Amino acid sequence: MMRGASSGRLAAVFLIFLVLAASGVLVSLMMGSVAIAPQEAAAILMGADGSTHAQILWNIRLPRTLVAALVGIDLALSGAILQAIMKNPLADPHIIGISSGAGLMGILVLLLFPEHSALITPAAFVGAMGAAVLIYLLAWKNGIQPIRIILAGVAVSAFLGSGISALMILYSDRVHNALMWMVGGLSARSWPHVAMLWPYTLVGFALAVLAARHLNVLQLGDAMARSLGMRVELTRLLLTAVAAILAASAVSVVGLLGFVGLIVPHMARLLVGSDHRILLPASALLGAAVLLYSDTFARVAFAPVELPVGIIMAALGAPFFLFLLRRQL
Amino acid sequence: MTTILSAEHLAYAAGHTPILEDVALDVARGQRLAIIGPNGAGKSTLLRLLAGLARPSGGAVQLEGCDIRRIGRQALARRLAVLPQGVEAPADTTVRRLVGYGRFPYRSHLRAEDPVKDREAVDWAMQVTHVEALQDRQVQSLSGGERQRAFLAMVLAQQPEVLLLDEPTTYLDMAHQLEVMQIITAVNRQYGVTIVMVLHDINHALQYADAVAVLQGRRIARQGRPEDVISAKLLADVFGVEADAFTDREGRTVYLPAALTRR
Repeated sequence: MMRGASSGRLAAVFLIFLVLAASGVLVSLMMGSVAIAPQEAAAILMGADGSTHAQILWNIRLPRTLVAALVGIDLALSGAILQAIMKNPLADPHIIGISSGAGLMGILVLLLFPEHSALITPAAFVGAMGAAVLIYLLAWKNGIQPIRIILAGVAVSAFLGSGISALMILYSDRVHNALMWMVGGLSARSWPHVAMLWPYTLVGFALAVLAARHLNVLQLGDAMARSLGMRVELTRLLLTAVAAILAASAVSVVGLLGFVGLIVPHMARLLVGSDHRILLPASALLGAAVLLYSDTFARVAFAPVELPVGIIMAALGAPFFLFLLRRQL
Repeated sequence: MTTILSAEHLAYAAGHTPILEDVALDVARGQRLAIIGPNGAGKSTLLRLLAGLARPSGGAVQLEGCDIRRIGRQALARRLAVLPQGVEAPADTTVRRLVGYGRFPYRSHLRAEDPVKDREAVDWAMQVTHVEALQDRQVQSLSGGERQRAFLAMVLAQQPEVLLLDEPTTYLDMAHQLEVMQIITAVNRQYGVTIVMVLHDINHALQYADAVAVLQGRRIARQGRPEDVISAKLLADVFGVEADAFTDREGRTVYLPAALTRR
């Protein structure tokens, strides 16, 4: 029930986010080792010719751009949900170890059943959910406390991360581009990866938005939510699953990309407020925009060398994490 | 008088430490019952048990003769509301949105059952608690009294038959205390909502309750009409204070603690 000036302001902010995401797509399509002018890009997308530029646009730029946008949406939503259900401003799938769980299981499938790539994301989901449950179990003591979640998450993340590192070293002949995967990167992501991602993004987004009111009521605390008729434990478990689906699909495609889920929901919250009915779509748009711009920057800034976008995100995210830590805990 | 909410042989333990033992309580429909007792007597725990927010280690709470654990969470939330102490909402939540959360029990399958009724209930709750004029304000901009009334409106929007309140006037100045107690009385008298409230001010119990239950030594020591139960002797026995008695403008006896008795 938005009214008056605030609904006008919200519409403006949403428009800005939309423009940011759209311009992010454009910039990502145009910029790179070969610059493609916007008119030319538009012409190619309307009716492809067989030129080199068309090849680059269709086979390299467009799928990579879509992967960046989808991963940005997934991680931003996952972080927004985790922050709400763990009542923890520092929750992010990467920081608390959910991504490591997804990564470990994903890598296992990749190594043991390389022919079944469709199994990677489901396996990653199982790993993400396992890590989340483990964190809850370790952090639970008369309810959930933000600082215990972070500490348990750090421990879980380190433990699972060591498993990932061990696998990567033991099977270094079979894991291509392991370093890229460990920091999270979009290099050489193409149409099969788009196909791997979009169903999860779509389902995750729909479930998250459907649960927005539940997330709002959870902000009043477990006792109040329960007395308002919510089955709090069940709700939290289901929402953890949604966050795990989103994180797992992202990890399956780009590896252990951190901090998107931390930074984006906070930026969105500052601009649109804490109502999850608005915060979630806003986070999705902003997540896509942030990752599109960061990846384009990572590709172009040190050309011809291409940095994994995870390095950019960590460089932005780590100071942001410290800022939040000092302000909120 | 028919009983609406009751407890029998109710017990609660935190780990191995018993907090409440063999508590019996009887709340009549339309009554305002005050629960009083010294700090640490388990008043808030009792309220949480009555609300179904804590699991008793023994005994049961019944709403119109039915064990509340056998009533579904949502069905219970439509009949019984509780405002615990120290509930908080995100700073930018508007009063209207906050009060709207009181309609959460009336959603099924992720959608509102009756949006018109929801809006009417929210408007009614804001009107009763005098927060209509504040409905577009964010909770961070409210004073303590305004905030308490907004939260009161939220639980009233549940349109409960029974409303449980945990020290509803804590941290409020005298005027806001009076205002909150008057709102509670109006809700009770005009709309028949049964009230169970933990009160720390004995005189509020005398002024605003139809019945009082004294919690002492892990059980209900006495329950009855405030003027019958509360006396200088009770204040000495239960709270360890010597109190002077005064008569207020309506002829009721009220008490001012004057000295600590030897413990």
